Amino acid sequence: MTRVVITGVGAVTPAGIGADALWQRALSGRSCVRRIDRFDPASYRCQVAGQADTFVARDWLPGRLVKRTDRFTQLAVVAAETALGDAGLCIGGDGGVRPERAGVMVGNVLGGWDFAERELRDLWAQGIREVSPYQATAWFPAAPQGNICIRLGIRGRARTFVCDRASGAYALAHAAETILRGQADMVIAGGTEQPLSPYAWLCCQTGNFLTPTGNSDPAAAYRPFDRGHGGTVVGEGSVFLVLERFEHARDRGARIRGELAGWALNNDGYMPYYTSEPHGATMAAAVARSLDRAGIKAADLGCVVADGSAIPREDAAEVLALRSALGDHAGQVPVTTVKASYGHLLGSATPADVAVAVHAIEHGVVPPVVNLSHPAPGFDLDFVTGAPRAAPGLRHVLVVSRGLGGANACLVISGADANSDAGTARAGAQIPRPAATAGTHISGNGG
Amino acid sequence: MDVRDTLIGIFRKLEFDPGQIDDGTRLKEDLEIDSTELAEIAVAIENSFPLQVDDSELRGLQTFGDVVAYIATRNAS
Repeated sequence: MTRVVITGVGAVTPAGIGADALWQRALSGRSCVRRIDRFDPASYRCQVAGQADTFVARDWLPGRLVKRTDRFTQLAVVAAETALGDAGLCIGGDGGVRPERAGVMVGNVLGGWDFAERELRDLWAQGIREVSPYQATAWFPAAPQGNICIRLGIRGRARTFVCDRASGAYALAHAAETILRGQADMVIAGGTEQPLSPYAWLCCQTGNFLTPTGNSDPAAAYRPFDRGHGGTVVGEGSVFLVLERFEHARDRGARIRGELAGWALNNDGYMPYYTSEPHGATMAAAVARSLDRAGIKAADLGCVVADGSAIPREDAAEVLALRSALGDHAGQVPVTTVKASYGHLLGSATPADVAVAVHAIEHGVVPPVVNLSHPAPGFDLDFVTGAPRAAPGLRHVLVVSRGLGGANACLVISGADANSDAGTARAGAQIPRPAATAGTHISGNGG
Repeated sequence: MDVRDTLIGIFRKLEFDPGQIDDGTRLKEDLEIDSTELAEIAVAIENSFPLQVDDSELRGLQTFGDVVAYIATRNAS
């Protein structure tokens, strides 16, 4: 069985343009969350967010594309293109990936409400003739997927996943499975989100997960695992990774930045509707399965990039889940979460976490949890606080993601040289193979 | 009003580069205008000229010059 490696990272976030800006912001231990200025937030309970203010669409994209798309598509197109550039890849042509062997997987939650709200206003105020003909294609969540395919000439599998805050994780996991099934040599996978418009913000507010207590000090608003945690802060942004079949990357001499070594998806299925299991048992099972798929044990884990939503019941469930899954090693595995540095990017959140995990492994450093001054009672994990922590030899990172309604998605990111033997297979759950290839199954311990 | 100048202004506002447009510029082959963008152009023409424009009538036009002529003819009558 082949492996899925990471050869490129692209990011447009409140931290700035580029994956390095994201990493530097994560290391800084300071948040760039700010008071919203895209609309007047005064009548909303949460008035702060992460804004990707350095991104001006017209600096990057032609006006005729900008006019027909919402900002969430513009963010995605630029992030995807920079990821491809980071991978040193092109689609088609000499030395490029064959278009039908390239894919796109996108995580998104809200679609393009900035564009849609304006058109709805014009519909009711002026009539149907004044509604932009681009409204339908600008709003719907699959717009980024389509525009990325058109601009880059991708002809392979393309999907958009809508799974609340786990959307990006689903995109990454499905990209990996697409490659393992032999359906693509390369998939650009990630997410995009732009929640900063009056109606989209109202949707976030009625979801009841934004913190109402951070308006007077925006940088201190998002407090994962802290006893002052009161909810999440969201932000806009897009992060994409280039996932590639290992042999394809090796044969072209690609710089391999890491490996998507394991993943697991499950759902709490917990009633009442739209709640999650308070004891985190199902999340713990997802953690365990993702480690198993990566062929590692808890003792091999160098770091956890937690979901860290700062929603009190979710923080508690996550601590219980990690404690249960990591067992005797729970107190020794450093735990961080970086979303508080720039906001929870919803559909882009997990891709951003994976980008940070890749950098953490490359640099042997675990960034701190911003605003974690005093862990809430009973939160006894080894949280990295204050300053980045040196982690020489860091090889395997667990990324935890979760969505409204109980979705759990865990990914294991390993270093580029963590398993250098191309023939090494992973223990644990295998993707079902078509009958014709069943005879080529390899078994062994990948750790 | 000068129809051509006004139409160039419309196209500029719709993010076209006026430097790339002359009477012989083909809407589909050269400017890659699709049916959605044509609908946008139709509404913009209606907002600048005292005309009702049917998208399907525009679809039959080949060049920028054809659009100028279409408007000038309708405007005069």
